[in-house]
Formats: sequence, C-alpha cells, structure tokens
Amino acid sequence: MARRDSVMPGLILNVRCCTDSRLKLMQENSMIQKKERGAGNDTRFAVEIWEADRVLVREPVSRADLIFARDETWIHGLRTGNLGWNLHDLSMSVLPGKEDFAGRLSSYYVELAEGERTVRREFSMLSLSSVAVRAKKRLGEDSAEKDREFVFYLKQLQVDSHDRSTVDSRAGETARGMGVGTLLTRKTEIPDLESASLTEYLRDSEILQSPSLPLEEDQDVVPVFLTREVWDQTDALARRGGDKESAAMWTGRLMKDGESPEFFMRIDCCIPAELATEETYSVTFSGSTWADLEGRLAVRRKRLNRPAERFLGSVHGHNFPVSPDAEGNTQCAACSQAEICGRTTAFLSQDDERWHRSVFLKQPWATLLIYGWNARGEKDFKLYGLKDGRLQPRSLRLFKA
Amino acid sequence: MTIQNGWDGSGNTTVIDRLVFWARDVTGSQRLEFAGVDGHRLAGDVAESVAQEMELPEDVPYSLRDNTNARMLVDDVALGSQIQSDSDLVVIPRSHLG
Repeated sequence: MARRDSVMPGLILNVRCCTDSRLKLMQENSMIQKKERGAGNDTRFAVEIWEADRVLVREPVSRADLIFARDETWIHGLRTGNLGWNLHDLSMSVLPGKEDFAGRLSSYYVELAEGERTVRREFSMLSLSSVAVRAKKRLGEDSAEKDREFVFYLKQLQVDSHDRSTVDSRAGETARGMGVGTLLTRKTEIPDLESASLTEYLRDSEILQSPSLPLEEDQDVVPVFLTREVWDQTDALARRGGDKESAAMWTGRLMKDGESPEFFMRIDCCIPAELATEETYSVTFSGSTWADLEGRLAVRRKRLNRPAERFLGSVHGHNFPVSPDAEGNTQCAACSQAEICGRTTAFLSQDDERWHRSVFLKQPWATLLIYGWNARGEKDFKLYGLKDGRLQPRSLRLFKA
Repeated sequence: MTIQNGWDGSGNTTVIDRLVFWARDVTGSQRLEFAGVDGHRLAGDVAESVAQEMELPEDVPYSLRDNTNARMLVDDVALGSQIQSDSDLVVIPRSHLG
C-alpha cells in the first residue's frame, strides 16, 4: 500500500549527549537490553520519546539502522578515492555531531577507516526517522497516546575512551546465528568499471526534471545517464499495468571517469518484471520474478558481450489517481495559478524504502524510480537515491538527441 | 551422516547433515559460503540467519530459493531435506513495492 505517512512530519528529531544520571537510567532499563538484537548489540545509541522531563519509550539504534549512512559514507570515500571497494575491510565508528544552544546534537557522524585512511560524513536526525517511527509504534501499543506528537532525541548510551562508538568491528568469520561450528566465507564482488569521460557525458546530456519537483544538479549523488529511448521504454513499462502497479529493473554499467576517482552510471536497458504480482497499491517480486530477471540480464550480458552490466535500480508505477482531500477535491484551490502541481502519486512509500533496502543493500549508487500522476492528470516521476542516510529525490541526466 | 536427502522410499524423510552451500542476494552483489550447517534447521530459520550475515534489513522476512532446482524452499521444513550439499541458494526478500 502506498502511503505518505511513513515519516511523520510533526516529529521533532534531535540528539543530545547523555548525562551520567540518564546513562544509569538506561543501563537499568532491561527493556532496552531485551530489545537490542543481533548485530545491534554493540551499538550505543537509542532514540527516545520524551514528554516534559520523562522518557516515555526508548528504541535502540541497531547497526541495521545505520547501514544506509554507512553505505553513503563508503560511496563518498569511493568517489573521492579515499576508500576501497571491499566494504568488509572497513571499520565503522559513530560520533556525536553538532551541538545546539540547548546542549542537543542536531547530527551524528559516521566514520569509516581503512588502515590509515578515514572518511567521515555527517547525517541529520532525519536519517533515523525509521527508528523514531518504530519507537512511536511501541508507544502506541502501550498507551492510548497513539496520535499525539512527541519530541524525539538520540542518546549516546555509552562513550568509550575515544568518545566514539565502534559499530562494525568484525570478530572472525564464524557465522552468527547459524549454529556452532558453522564456517563462513565471503566472496566480495568488486564491480567491473568501464572507463569513460565524465566531462563528455556531462557535456552531451541535460538534467531531466521531475514535473512536481524540479532539482538542480546534485553533487552528492552518483550521476545517472540514459538515452531518450531507454527513458521512453522505462515510462511504458512502469505504466503498463493500467490501474495496477507494475515494475521493472534498470540494468546498466558502472563507469569510471578517466580523469578523476569519480564514477557514474549508464543505464542501458529497462527489463520488465513480468512475473511480479501486480495489484492496485503494490507489486511483489517472487523467487520466480528474480530468476526471470536474472535470466534476462544474463542473456544481455552474453549477447552484448557486456559482462559488467548489472542491476542498477528499480522502476515502478503508482498508477492510481491522486486521492481527494476532505472536501472531495483532488486539485488544490490554487491549482489554476500554480506553476507546479505538488499533489502527486509519484512519492516514496515506506514499503518502497523497505524493498529497496532489502534488494540494494551495499550498493549505495542504486536508484528507485517512481512514476505517478499529479492532480491535473499529468504524468509525473521522481528518482530516489541515497542522500543523508535515506532515500531522497535526486537528479538524472538524459543524453541530448 | 545421511548422504542423500528427500524421500527414501519407506516414507521417511532423510536429511543431509552437515551441509555446505553458497548463498547470494537477489542482485548477486553478495555471495557467502556456509560450511558445516546443521541440516535439521528449518529453511526459514536459515534464510533469516543468512540475511543477517548479509546485513539485510531485519524488518523483512526472507525465504531461500534453490537455483540448482529452480524452486523455492519450504520455510518450515528442514533445509537438509530440501537441498543437496554445495547447492546455490538465493535469499529472496518477502517485501513488496508499494
């Protein structure tokens, strides 16, 4: 189900350093200890819901909650030539960010280290919105205050001698949760990057603007290039479901700039997810869907002698109309004067975000494209990519004819 | 050690124990080899453990697909009764675009 309320806009998200007394309070809270799961055990942060001077509920921040931030830091290191491709060679630390006038932190840092080289990146509290939503859900289960708005804080539960929390130090390669004596071997895929000139790609292309959200060139994301032909193919495949959602996968190549450490993406094809289950508000990929997509990609790799072609993003259509407001209107009162119509079905849902995380983890360049309709009945789209530790609208470029 | 899985002809299910298998994610970016896995563990449990090793999101359920036989494994049946050793498995997230 496509919903707009995945992140509640009324929430105030902040971080604040933990005082000794509060730290003690947290250490005594067995609920947190029970709530911490698997890989999150060595994470020393929690999001709290506060009312006046008391904590209503706490939700530990697990390592899984920081994976997007880690991956974005990693890609930043890759693009600047400061980190290598093997993510498992990197150790990760989380550090408190900026402090405001009230002693609260408005951000946190993720730092990745590979030997002597380190890369640090700052993230806002919005990147932990899913933790806040999780905490709010727990509050809703435990009280009748489900619909109220509360203030959220991030707390650092434990500070080591280096004033940081080490999150990703791996101890050996025995398989966690797989039983005693199980051995694990990782085969890290290092993508084959084709060499090309980013300068020439930029010169020969122009930004394709989303009708509902025009964006400037975005330096924080890996540039995406595609031809008009692939774009039209993508549009047709995402909308082929009629009034149902339909999906496809972008395939293409990761390209390496010949003059800088920068890399970028060239989208070569849009492959329909023909075996996916299409419904009005969802589209589901089964094992057969993935096998079919994988087979089609394998054929392309062989036929085009392009072994480096890979899945680079997903595409799907929110092919339902804009819902009417309380008065029964789909268009706003200012519609006739407004240059841009912001009422659109081209938006990221909580399910979309969760699906993307479960498919494109450790591929921070991957994109998610959503087609929809605005309230005027015009076509709309938004391309999402990883920014500030979460999926946000981003730019793309179309080759000039 | 049992050396063959599936039905043994007498109505009993045989289970391979200990197992070696490869597992990868749906895009093929991560590939892990597990050795010495308890074949009596349910396939659904193993799927969750593999997903955890891959750092896949914890709020999504997972199943396993045996690429060798092109079939989904049954979550609540022992892994060792459904695959041969050295099988190539894919972790399928049971999530949807919305």
